[in-house]
Parts: sequence; structure tokens; C-alpha cells
Amino acid sequence: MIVRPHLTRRLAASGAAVAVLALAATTAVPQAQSNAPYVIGAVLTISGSGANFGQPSAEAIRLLVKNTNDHGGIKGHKVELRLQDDGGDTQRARAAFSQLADDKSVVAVIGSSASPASLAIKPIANDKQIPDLTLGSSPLLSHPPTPYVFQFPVPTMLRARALYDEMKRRNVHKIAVFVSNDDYGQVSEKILDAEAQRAGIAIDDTERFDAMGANVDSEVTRAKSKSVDAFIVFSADPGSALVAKSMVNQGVTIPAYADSPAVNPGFLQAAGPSASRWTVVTTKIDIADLVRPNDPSYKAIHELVKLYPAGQKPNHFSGTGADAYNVLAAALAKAGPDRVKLRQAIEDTKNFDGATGVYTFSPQNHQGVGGEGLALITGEGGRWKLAR
Amino acid sequence: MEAFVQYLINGLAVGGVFALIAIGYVVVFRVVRIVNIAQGDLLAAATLVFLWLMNAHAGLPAAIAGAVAAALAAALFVERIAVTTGGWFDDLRAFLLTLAASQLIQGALLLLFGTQYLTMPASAPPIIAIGDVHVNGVYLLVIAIVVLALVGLVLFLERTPLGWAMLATADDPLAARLCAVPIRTMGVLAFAIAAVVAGIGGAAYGAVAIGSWNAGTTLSTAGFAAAVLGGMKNPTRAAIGGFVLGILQALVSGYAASYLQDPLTFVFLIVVLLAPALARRVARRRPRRAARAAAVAA
Amino acid sequence: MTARRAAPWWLLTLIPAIAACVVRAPYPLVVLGTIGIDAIAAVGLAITLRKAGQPSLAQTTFMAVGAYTASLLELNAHWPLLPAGIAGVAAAALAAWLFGAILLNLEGLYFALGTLALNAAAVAVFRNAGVFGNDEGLQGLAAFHIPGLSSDQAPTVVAWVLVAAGLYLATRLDRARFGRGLRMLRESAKVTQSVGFDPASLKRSAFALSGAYAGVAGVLLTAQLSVVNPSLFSLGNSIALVAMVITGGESLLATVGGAVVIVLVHELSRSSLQYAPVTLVGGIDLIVNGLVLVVILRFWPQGLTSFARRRSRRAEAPVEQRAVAAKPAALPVAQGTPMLVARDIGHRFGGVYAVDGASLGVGAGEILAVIGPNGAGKTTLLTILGGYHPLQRGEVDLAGEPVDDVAPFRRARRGVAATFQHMEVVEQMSVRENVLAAGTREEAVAPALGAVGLLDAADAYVSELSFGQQRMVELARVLARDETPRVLLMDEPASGLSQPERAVLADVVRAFAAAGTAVVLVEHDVAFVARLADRILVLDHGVPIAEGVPQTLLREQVVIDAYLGSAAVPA
Repeated sequence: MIVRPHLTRRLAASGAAVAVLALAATTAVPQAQSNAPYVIGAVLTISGSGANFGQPSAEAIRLLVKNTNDHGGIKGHKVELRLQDDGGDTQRARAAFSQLADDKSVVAVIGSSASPASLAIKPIANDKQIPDLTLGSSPLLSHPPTPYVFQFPVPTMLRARALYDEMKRRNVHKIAVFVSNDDYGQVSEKILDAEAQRAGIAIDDTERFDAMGANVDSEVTRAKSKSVDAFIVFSADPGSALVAKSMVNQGVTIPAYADSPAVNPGFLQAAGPSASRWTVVTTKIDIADLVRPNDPSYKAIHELVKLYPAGQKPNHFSGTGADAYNVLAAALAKAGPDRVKLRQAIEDTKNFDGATGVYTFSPQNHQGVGGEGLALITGEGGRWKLAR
Repeated sequence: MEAFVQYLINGLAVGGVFALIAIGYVVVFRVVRIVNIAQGDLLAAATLVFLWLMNAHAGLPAAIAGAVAAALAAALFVERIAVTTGGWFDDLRAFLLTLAASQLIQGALLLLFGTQYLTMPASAPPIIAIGDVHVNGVYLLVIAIVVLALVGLVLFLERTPLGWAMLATADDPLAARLCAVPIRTMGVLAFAIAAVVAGIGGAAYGAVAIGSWNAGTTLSTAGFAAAVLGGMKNPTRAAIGGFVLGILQALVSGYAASYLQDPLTFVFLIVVLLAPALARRVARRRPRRAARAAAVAA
Repeated sequence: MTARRAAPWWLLTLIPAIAACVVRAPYPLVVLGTIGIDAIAAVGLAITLRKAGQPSLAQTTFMAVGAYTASLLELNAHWPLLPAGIAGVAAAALAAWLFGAILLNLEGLYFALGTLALNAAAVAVFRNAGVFGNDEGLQGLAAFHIPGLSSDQAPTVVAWVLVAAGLYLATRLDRARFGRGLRMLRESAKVTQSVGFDPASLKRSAFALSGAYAGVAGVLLTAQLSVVNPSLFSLGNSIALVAMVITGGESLLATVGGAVVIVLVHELSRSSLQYAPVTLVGGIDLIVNGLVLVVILRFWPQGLTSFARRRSRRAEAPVEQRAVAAKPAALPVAQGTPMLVARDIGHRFGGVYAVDGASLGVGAGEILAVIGPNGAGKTTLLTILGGYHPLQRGEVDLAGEPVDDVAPFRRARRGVAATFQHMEVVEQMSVRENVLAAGTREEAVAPALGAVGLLDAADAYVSELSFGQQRMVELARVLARDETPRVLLMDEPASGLSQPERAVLADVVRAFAAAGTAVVLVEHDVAFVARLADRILVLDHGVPIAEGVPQTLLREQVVIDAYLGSAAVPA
């Protein structure tokens, strides 16, 4: 083709592009002032299908940052939050993390809420030596532990174990497993398998379904035909509600057990009266009013709840995000804005009372929380109550 | 056996929703020659508005009206964006524009409703028990609604002057223009019909499933596969295609594995797209010359 | 007349590569690297989408094939990056070839939808098959280690070097026969066949080539991120690639510009949303994506290529000028040897027989004219002889061998040349390129153009020529063929030509006959064929009604009646 590009305009276009990139780079100029704010980065999934995991955490962190600043900041330094959306896309997470890590004024990054993105961030955090507090749940993030990555969610293994222990108490021997067809569901499936063997419970059917699908009628029908004692559901939203609805539609009345994503007002509505047959494992923040004052998580939970406007409440994801921020803030207060010292301070955290559990890190343990913050709840009269 | 019947009914109910989406595709495609990949999002918007109104205790008629209104708003938005003029590249352009419209609608739904999903206010659904098979009465209602909508549409197209005008535009826009049919208006009307169908479908879907901002994508693909099965021309065949796909999905999900559902839809779509081309290839085969000579000699 | 070479604009893409060696800041490097990787994939997509006219939404699928193949070889077989990468590219090209063979039976929009389905099915496979690591994917993949460059610089530099290489390759192919074939394909499948290209094979090759580019991009992605997972290859990313190609417009270099624009828009919108309330962010992201597409598609369809200006030359050559005339080389066949024989040809369109029982035979060096009133079925017969209609009834032999079901491009390769009634020259190419597309050597172009008097117009766009001159281009294309055709089929070649142009046409036809070509000429202008043809066949309503030499045939009553109607005035 004999097309001759107009030289001037082409140069102008590429010049503009270069200029823009340069602009983006200059936003990374650190400020050298004595009371400079502490800049915290966050890379979370706020849009796309993982938004259910990331948005509540993001909101909690935002509220906490504002609260910190309203009370004079950390040792007199205001906190500045730079929140980036990774949209569930690993490339964007990587670029976002890079942008934050590049900026010398950013002291640490909380992120990502999605495991695949967090796995991509892990090597970079260690390479650039910037502390990364991840909200992803994949065991690979902290096994083996790496110096700069700290994992905050309660391990799936402990949540599964809590449910299986309850099942044993209630003489459940054969179950059908429902997992959503994403990284959360896939990892959960393996853990549920292993824990079931440990608990001596037989898995007679495993259903992997699309949590965004129209319904799960066929899956429920098939599971029903295997004559199991109970269902267990580890699914992203709205999978648990889909299963509940389908069970109602098909008149399936066996008990069901689920992981924390089921704690969602839509679930109670979808399940209706059948919600009383469900037992859900979650962190106590979901039943904030029922937490006793002598519980280690009471303080953290109620400080968080207070920050929310009327009619809105934090949930278990919010709690994890809040804990990550609070641990970070405490470490900042101790160690100041130096990344290496900050990393050490986070690793030195011991017995920190968070909203979702008690956090203790060490050089060998970068997955800091156990199952002490968990509770089993059930739906009654349109509200969540402690199961028992 | 009961499992099979259960799968069948599950499939018919979901297939009914696919059928409604497929009908929307066909109507728009015939008149405006555009594949509106945002069709599923129209339904998702309707579902969300319907459930929201139901949860606000607005009553069933208001909720249905709201659903249709939401679908109409979304459909007219798509029409504004996607309808342009032109040749082969503009077919692609129009399709990409509907794709863009789909993203815009999903973005708007996300902004309006957030990531929360909505369901019907808690109430015991009418469970009809036939032997060991338990059916939510609303499923049967969905199937009935689809059939009614289809009959209504066909009657409209074939018995009313407005319907004839639309069919005329579909078959030969130039001739229609020469007969003083306002074809641009017919295009808008086509979208409006697709929207009404999506609105009713959205209400039905909300009654049996869940409303969320991103439900549209899977629904769009399934509905499109069904429409192609119906040859993109005939609403009745498209509706049948929807039911067939729904049943296939339910059976595969039930007897094989449930995560195969989506890949199945896509393979189904590819096969359906390829079938006419391959059939033409086969039809063109002529017997070899020697065989023909032998046939003549015999 | 030297061929004018376009300046090597693709060299501009080496600038980012050089910049990446100098810049140290990681974030701009990451963004630049992402742009480079996407640019490679986008250029590959442009080959299929623009050059071959097949809009593919599956480019990210082939990126995934390349990425996962390389990753699995690295992790399980411990291959180093380079051989694993090459294997990945090969796998991607192969996958594109295979799926292309299936999907390329579809046209336009349906092809797009088929690729959309393929993309979705592929993502489902990568998410569910355990060997790919499911949603978490695979970690710990090899990266580039280039002495002197940081871990952020290396992938970026490599990416842009490959962008330059990819553009260079695409430009070379574009100017080669392959590229010309693709361009013809976009305008007219018939012409493409008539010069011997197999359209299906062209499309498959283009698609496989796009797949190879995608494979390169996929491998680079694994080297940049050190992980691979399905979220990288979603439908949203496919759409973004299409947006890049459309933003760019016709020129491949501009497609790289399109990648710059799209990636920057996304990066800027993401980082500027840092300060927005959390709940708005997700929705706004989708809206930005959608808006970018709408704005480009509605208001800027030319894309960045609109910055380019087309240079064109006015055609000035008068027809009489014959600087260096071409003569077709003589064929080694005896005069009169039967070349094309058709028996009992029948063809129906719906319920109407366009041709019903026509037979003809042409020998080497003979000129057979087929005449008849409008609607007599002449053109249909000719297109059947060329193979452009499937043969419904009858038999066709070429030099004694049956060619009943042989595709037109194969007949072309066996020595059948054709010119068509409705102009089938490619408007967007120059005269020279149209002639070159016939697969000839550069040296044959000038004599061919000289013989038809278009030497001075060699670099003009065909769309700028007069009707008669465009006809001459068609003739020149046949003249320029490497081998003299054994059969020449011409459909109304004289229509629309001026007297001098008809003289040139007649000369060319006679030259072919003298060289031994069997010529079948469908024509309206009876006087023209009367002087030119050796024999005439008269068709009426699809049936042959007379055949013979011009002198006697044209006086036969039945022929006159056919043309003028047989309303005999009663005495």
C-alpha cells in the first residue's frame, strides 16, 4: 500500500504519548517534608466478578484511614491512601503494584484481594522490598513464607475444619460438596477433600458450578439423588444463595453448611425459612451485636462498626481488610516509614487483637491468624444468629 | 427417572428465558440487521429493577411495569449507539457497538445496584409435587409466559398493519421505503419489541433466580446460540432453540458435569454457526463422472 | 521506471526499545512493556482483521496457547526461555491454523461470533483443566536475563524489538505475493481465484500468521509477569485488542499507535480513580471501556490512519502509446488441438434454466465467440467454464482432462485465465500492484502495461482510471502472466471501450491466439466479433441455436430473429 504517513502529525502523536508517560512517572516524585504523610497503597479487586471480595475491604480501609486522620494521624503524620482497582486482571494488578512500589513515598501496599493477582505480586514485593499485606486466600501465598508478603485471611483449612467438626457433632457422615468454578472454589475443593478425610466424612458427590449462572437446579437434583446427609457449599457470591433457592424449589430439606460468602442479605432472602437449616462459618464481625465484650475481637469489631454510616455494616471481608490496615498502622507507629524497618515491625506483631482473629507473625509464619475469630451462625427470622 | 423429569423441567424453565432473549435477537436482526449482543443485559436490567421494586413492596404490576421500562430504556440506548449505516465492516462495527453498549449497561447497573445481588422477598413458593419430582410453580408460569409472549408476537407480526410494516422492512427495506414505511422508526420499534420481551423475561427470571449486574453476559451468549439455531429469521424457531439449549444444558449438567455447561453453549454455538456452511458443501457434491456414466449406461 | 519503496516507518518502533534501555523507573517500563506486548498481538490481529477481512475475537486465545505451552515446558521439562518461547509460538500458530480451518468457513459477523465462542470455550478449558493451574495459574516462570538491563527493562526492550521485527515482517509480506493476494481477497474472491490463489488457503495462512504473533505476545507476557493465569485472556482483553486495531485504522504502524492509546486510556483511568469513592470505581471502569469503543467506532472510524495522507498520481497515458509491447510466448501445442470442451452444460437458478444443454469446443489458437441477446445465458456459461459456478449438469474438459469439480483457482493454475464482465480489478491497489498480483515477475509488468498503453499510469490507483483503462488493466494482468494461458475466457471485454481501445483489445486477443491460446469470448458487439472470431456460437434462452463461421452465420434467419425478434410483418 502506498500510504505515506504525515510525518509531523505522527511525531506529534507519539510525542504526546511520551509526554503522558513522563507525566505518569513524575507522579512518583517523593515529598521531602518533615511531617510528610504516610502513604499506603492498596491494590484490590473493586470491579469485575471478584468485586464482592475486594469492595468491602476497600471500604473498610478507607473508613479507617479517615478515622486515623481525624484523630491526628499516626504519630502526627497523616495517612494517605492510594487505592487502585485491579479489576481481577493480573496485568493490571501488576502495573498498579509497580506504580505504587515505584513511588518511594509509599511505605507498604495492601493487596490484592484476589489470589491470582496476589501470586503475581508476590515476587515483585520481595524483589522491590516493599511490604505487601495480601488479602488473598491461596495457601501458596505464605507457604513457604517470603520476607515481604504477609497473609491475612483466616485459612480456608480452619474454616472447613470448623464446619466438619460441627458435622461430626451432628452425626453427618455423607455429604455433597458444592464449589464455585473460580480460584476460591478450586482451592477450597482440595482443602475440603483433605479435611473430610481427616474428619472421617465421606464426600459422595462434588459439584463445580458457575457462581454467576442462572441456577443450580441440575446440580442440586444430582446431589439429591446421591442420598447424602448434608450439603456443604464453598462458593463465591451468589452461589450459596443459588443453592439455597434451588433446594427450596426442589423441596430438599437436608441441612446445609457454607463458608462466609453466604453471609449476605440476599442469601437470607433467597433461602427464606429454610435458612434455619443452614450453618455458616464466618468471622464474628458478621454477628457484631452478639459478640461479648470479653471476646478479644470485640474492640476491633465495634470500632469498625462505629465508622459505618447508618444502615451499613461491615462484613467478614471488611474485617480482613480492617485487620490488615490496623496491623500496618500499629507497625508504622513503631517503626516509621522505612520499608525495611516496617517489614520487621509487621513480622514482630504478636497477639494483635483484630476483628477476625488474633494476629501473630514470625519469620516462619507469615499467615498470621488462626481460627479463634470464627463463629458458626444460622439464619432465623431473617437474621443471623449463633448456631447451636 | 425422576431425576430426568426434574432436569427436563429445570431445563425448560431456564430455556424459556433463553427463548425470550432469542426472540429479541431475531426481531432486531431481521429488521435492523444487527446482532444485539446486549440483549442479555436488557434482561438483567429488567430483573434488577423488578426485584428492587418487589423488595420495596411496590406490588407485582408495578414491578413488572418497572422491569419493562428498564428494558426499554436500555434498549433505546443500545439503538442510539449501534445503529449506523453501511457495508460489511459496518456489520462488525454495529456488533462491536452493541458490545460496547453491553459494557456500558453493565457499568451502569454496577453503579446503581452495586455488587449486591437481589432476590424475591421471602415467601414460600408454590411447590407442586408430582411423585418424587418437586417443581416450583413459578417455573411452569415462566414456560407459560414464554409461550404467550411468542404467540403474542407472532400475532402482532402477522395480523396487524404495524406488524406487516415491520415484516416489510425486514424483507426489503428499499421497497418498504418506497411504500412510505418509515424504516428508521421500524428499527426503533424492533428494539422496543425486543425490550418488552426482555422486560417480561426479566421479571420471570427474577422470580425464579437471582438478579445481579453481570448476569447479562452468559444470558446473551445462550440466547444468541438459540437464535442462530432458529436461523436468525423465525421467532418461533428461535424460541424452540432456546428451549432446546436449556434442556441440553440441564441434561449435560445433570448427567455429566455442571461446569461443562458454558463450554457446551459455546460448542453448540459454533456447531450451529457452521452447520449451514457445511451443509452447502455436502449438497454440492456431485457423483463422479464414471459413476454417472455407469448410471446412464445401466 | 523504478518501483517506489515506501519509507521504513516501522523503524520508529525501535525508539521505545532504545528508551527502555535508558529509563530506569519501573512503572513507566511496565506500562511501556504492556503496550509493546499488546501491540504485537494487535498487529497480528490486524493482519487477519484488515488484510484478510476476517474479524477475530479469539486473539487472546492464541496468546494463551503460546503462554501456557511455554510455561508448561519451562516448569515441567525445564526448558530455558528461548526454546520454550519458540515452541509456544509454534503451538499458537498451529492452533490458529487448526481452528481457522474450521471457523473460516464462516463469513464476517458470523466468523466474529464463532471466534467469540472459541475464546469463551478456551477460557473455560484453561480454568478447569488442572494441568493449567486453574484460576491461580502457573507461577515461577522464566524471565529475560540481559546483562546491563534491570528486570523491568529487559522484557520491555525485547518486546519493542519484536514489535519492530513484527512490523518489518508484516510489511515485507504485505508487498509480497501473499499480501497482494490478501488484498485482492478483500475486494473480490473471484479475481483472487482467477489469478490462481486459493482463497481458503490464503485466509488460513493469514489466520495462522496472526496466531503466531499472538503466540509471541503470550510468551512475552509470561516473561514479563512470571505468572500466567486465565484472567489475562478474558473476553474483555480480546475486545481491547480489537479496539486497538480499530483505533489504528488501515496502517499496521498506526495499529501500534492504537495500542498506545488504548493502554494509556486504561492506565490513566485506573490511576485517576485512586481518589474516587470506592463504590464508583468498578462501574466507572466498565463505562470507560465502553465509551472508548463507542467514541472510536462512531466518531473516528478511520482511526489514527486518518493522520496519513494518500499520495496519488493522475493517469495521463494516452492509449496509443506502446513503448515496449508484450507478446505472449508461444505455447508448445499444435494449432487446433482441443483445449476446452464442454458437453451438455445445464444450470438452473431456482426454477429457471439459465443454460440448458449447451456444448462447445475450442482448440488451441482458435477464437470462439459466444453471442446472443440479453439473458441468453452467455455469462452464466462462461462462469461455469471458469468454475465459478458449481457444475450442475454436464461435463467440462481442459486439454482432455476432466475438470468438472475443480475449483477456479486450480483451473487458473492449470492455465485458464479469465476477465470478467463486472470490473474485478482491485480499486485500492495501484495498477502495477494489480498486475503483479497475477504472480508475475517485476520485469513482466512494464511490457504488459506497455502493450495496453498504461505504462505512464503504473503507479496510479485503479479507482482513478477511466472505465476503459481499468479494462486494460485486466488485460495487462493476463498478458503479464508467467506462462501463456492455455485457455482465455473473456466476458464482454469490449463493452464500454472506445474505438481505439477496442483496437488494442483486438490486437491483444489475436496475439494470444497466435501464441496458441484457446480463446472463448462472450460479447454483445456483433460487429466486433465478426472481424475477430474464427467461429461463433449463438445462444438464446440458454440454448444454442446456431454455430458456424461469422460470414455465413450472421446471415442465418434464426440468428437475426433471435436478436431482432421474429415479429414477421405479414406481407
